[in-house]
Amino acid sequence: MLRGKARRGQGGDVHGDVGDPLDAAQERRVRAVLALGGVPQADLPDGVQQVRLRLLERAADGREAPRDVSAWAAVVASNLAMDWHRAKRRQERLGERLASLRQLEHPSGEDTSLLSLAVAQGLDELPDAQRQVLVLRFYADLPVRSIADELGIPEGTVKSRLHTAVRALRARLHEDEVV
Amino acid sequence: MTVDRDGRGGFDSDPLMAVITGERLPDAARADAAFMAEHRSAAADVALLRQQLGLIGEALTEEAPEEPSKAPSPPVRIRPHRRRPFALALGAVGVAAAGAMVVGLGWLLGQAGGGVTETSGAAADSAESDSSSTAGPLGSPEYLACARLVAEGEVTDTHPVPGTGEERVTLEVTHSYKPTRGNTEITFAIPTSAGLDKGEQILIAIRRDSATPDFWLAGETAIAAQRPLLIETLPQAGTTPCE
Repeated sequence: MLRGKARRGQGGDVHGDVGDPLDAAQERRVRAVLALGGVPQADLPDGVQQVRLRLLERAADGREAPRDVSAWAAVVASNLAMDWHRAKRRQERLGERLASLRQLEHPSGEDTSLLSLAVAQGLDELPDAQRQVLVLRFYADLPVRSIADELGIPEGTVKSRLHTAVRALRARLHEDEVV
Repeated sequence: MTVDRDGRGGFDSDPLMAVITGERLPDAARADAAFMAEHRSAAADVALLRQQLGLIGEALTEEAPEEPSKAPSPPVRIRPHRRRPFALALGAVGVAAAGAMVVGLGWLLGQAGGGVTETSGAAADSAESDSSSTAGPLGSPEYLACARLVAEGEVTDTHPVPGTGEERVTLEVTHSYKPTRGNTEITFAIPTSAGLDKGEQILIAIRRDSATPDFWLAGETAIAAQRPLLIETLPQAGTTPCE
């Protein structure tokens, strides 16, 4: 059923194969949006499957495939991350995970890793709603208007959340003298 | 800092908000040196933020290559790296430009006359023969299909990012090839080894999901040599999927 309705999205083809509606690039992007949203590593495969399922359900309902599958998948993934937090009442602390990875890879430490850690810790401190729009805007590269449309909130709200989030991250970076 | 000479005031005149939305700056703002200084600073920080989100996202999701058949393993890398872009670039350009990559850390052409002539010549020849395997990235529809930005312009500012081996570059865009109507000013991080200077003409390409160019040309001579190929290839890229 999906084959007949699939069409090319901005981020790549929607596969005609019913078994995998996301291509490799889209899957990577979904995983990253989930991870940046605080979904633990162990739950990432489930999250990706959820996005696939939504896409298949959409096709099964007879609705047209999203015009931009990559953008659509990023928004769905970001919403899943929000749901994850509500359901699990916890979220992965990005800073802690990056710190542990850094110890694995760079026992002696590295300035670049410190910069990543500072940003990750800044993300951890953001309210979920701010982090969601931040990831959609600056990782998934969605325009402000698209984020507002997809999340069903006013454009001004998206701008306000982005402004507050970016300001907080900038302040943190400069306070920590990372930059 | 806000610009309110035209009576608009408010959020839209905030330098940071202008960077966040990517909106075109009004003339009043562009004429205000203090506003532009804050805008450049905000653009640099946002470019850094984009880059870091990409790196963190990659680090948190990267699977261990030695266990491809198992469930995803914890990632082990958060250091910036250009493995995929380099692999793609190497596949697209062939042996002739591989030497330039080794020497210049990327597709840096135009700093030295010999490199420019040799590689540009290879690109022109391959354009004639319609062979994207030797034309370089600007002759590859597959490469351009995966680029979210291809633009040329003048470097107006460079600032080193301490400890990263990179510098933040501000580019006054004179021509945006993709998207055709992009921002008039962009900021990005690039390896310090690129050696870009203020006033230099450059052409860059940035892949999707990346904030850092994985291809750039420096100098009008090098750009002019590749521009026809880029213009010829772009229409094909529009109908080529990014895979």
